[in-house]
Amino acid sequence: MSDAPTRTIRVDALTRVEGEGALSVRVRDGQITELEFRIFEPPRFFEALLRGRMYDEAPDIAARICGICPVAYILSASQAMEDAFGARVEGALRDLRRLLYCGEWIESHVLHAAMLHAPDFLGLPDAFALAKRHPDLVTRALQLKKLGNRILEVIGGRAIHPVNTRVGGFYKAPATEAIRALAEPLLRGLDQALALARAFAAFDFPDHRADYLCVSLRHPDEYAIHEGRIVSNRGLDIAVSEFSDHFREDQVPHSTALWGAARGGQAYLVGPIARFNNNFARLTPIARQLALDLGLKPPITNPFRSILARMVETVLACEEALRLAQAYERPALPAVPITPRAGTGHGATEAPRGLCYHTYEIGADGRILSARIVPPTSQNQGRIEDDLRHVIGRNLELPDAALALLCERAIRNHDPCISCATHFLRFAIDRG
Amino acid sequence: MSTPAWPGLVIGVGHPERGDDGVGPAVAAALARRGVAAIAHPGDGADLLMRWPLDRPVIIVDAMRAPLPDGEIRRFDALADPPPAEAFALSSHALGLGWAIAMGRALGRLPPRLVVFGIAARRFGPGSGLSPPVARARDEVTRRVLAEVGR
Repeated sequence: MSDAPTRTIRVDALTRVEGEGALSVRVRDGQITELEFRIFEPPRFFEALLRGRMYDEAPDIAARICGICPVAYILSASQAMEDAFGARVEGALRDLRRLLYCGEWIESHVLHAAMLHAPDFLGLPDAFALAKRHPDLVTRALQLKKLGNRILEVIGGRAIHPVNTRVGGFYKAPATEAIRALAEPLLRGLDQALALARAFAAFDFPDHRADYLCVSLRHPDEYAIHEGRIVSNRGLDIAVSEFSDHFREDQVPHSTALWGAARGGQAYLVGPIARFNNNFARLTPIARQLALDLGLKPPITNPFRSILARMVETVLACEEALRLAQAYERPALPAVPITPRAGTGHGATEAPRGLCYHTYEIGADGRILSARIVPPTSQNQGRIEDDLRHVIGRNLELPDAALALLCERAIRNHDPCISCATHFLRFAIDRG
Repeated sequence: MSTPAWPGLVIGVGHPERGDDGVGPAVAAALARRGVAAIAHPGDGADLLMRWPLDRPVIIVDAMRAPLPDGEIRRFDALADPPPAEAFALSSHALGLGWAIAMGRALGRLPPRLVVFGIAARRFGPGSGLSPPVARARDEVTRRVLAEVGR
């Protein structure tokens, strides 16, 4: 047995992420010999819970996976059912879904960027310290979060776990005036999002270069949020129904979340950087100009710049929501007719943290025979570990506390939602 | 001569369909029926902070997890003696009342007077309604708030 010096670094409880996780690293003779990004939040068994339930219960049950991005789960599940039953949601109902999703992107992106991520770049411990130093910045973020919540309330009936959505559309189509009244606060929100993005662009970003396999939806006519084909920056272009042919989930001993990888075993990235890199040409005009002003062009290879990609998307969500709110006319019917039949359906949307894929097998009586839900964080785990190996390998000279902090930052770059992935952080490094 | 209306706002925090978590909205509804300005709020601290008025007194009523018998009531003068944040935590996915008060203090965004009534509870199952001790606490807190606002 070697007498070479070993070093162990542990982060026992990761902060400023949603859920519970940890990181342990073993270094021997200046080389990382073991690195585990561990998710120990208990498994939540949502897929088993859905078996035997009626098809129309799936969106509301799946929504309980996450209190921050329930719309992602609602719409991915709804679209999977509509795919199974041959239903198409188009026109004003489709626009209303996109507007609802913009509200979720605004509230989730701003919560992470300003409250959880921004303190990292200023050497501050948390959002309270940030508020004391930059109250204007935090106030803007809170106003934007309130705006995102408001959109969810007006369309979905309430801000957390909306109740007005259903397979096929909505229970009640909001009044034309109620949606158009969102335009004025959205105009203010657009200015606030631009100001926040420009403030964050002044941060110092640690050096990091990663050759990401970026996976996201792509839509021919718009920046994909709630519909599209699954594409990568390396030529993949598949229908949502082909997801399982190209991507897999594995169990790993150190995590209660399944571990996503491409079929060839390669870790891949979903989320704002992946979307930005794959869909830059489809950014809305103000978001695109902002990106160019900030020097952001595809491919983004530095994950620490994810905060800027997230803010470009916040601006985009405000622009899109404004356009949709101004053009809204109450549809004649709140939903398209749904006739259940035996079959299999697939749905995928872009949750704020990345691709959210659902598939369901439905019996002739409309009951769910099997369910599979692939949230963004389980897909990003392998890529997060790769980022950590890079960050630790380049910074081994740092003392444990400083290295642990840098690792936490590298993890927060990806806004992991551990509770979703278990359906995450303690840090440990063993240097001997 | 009628008593001048209390200028403040009561916010009942909670979810009406989640058992004892509905006690805040239930108190708000009872007070609204008595003509007191009162609203319900689901409890997202980042949102709550942006909705409470900065120029009027605010009273918040919320269920709390605490090592106390169910229905036990605690009153906090939140500006002088903030309630323990963990008692009012919402979930791993949202920021609760404690976060809202701490952030309001950091931003200078607090009402001139902020009172919190916490009601100890533990039964939060969907659709289970208020447990008997928490239902009794609802009536007691309603009486105490009415007295506090001079009604």
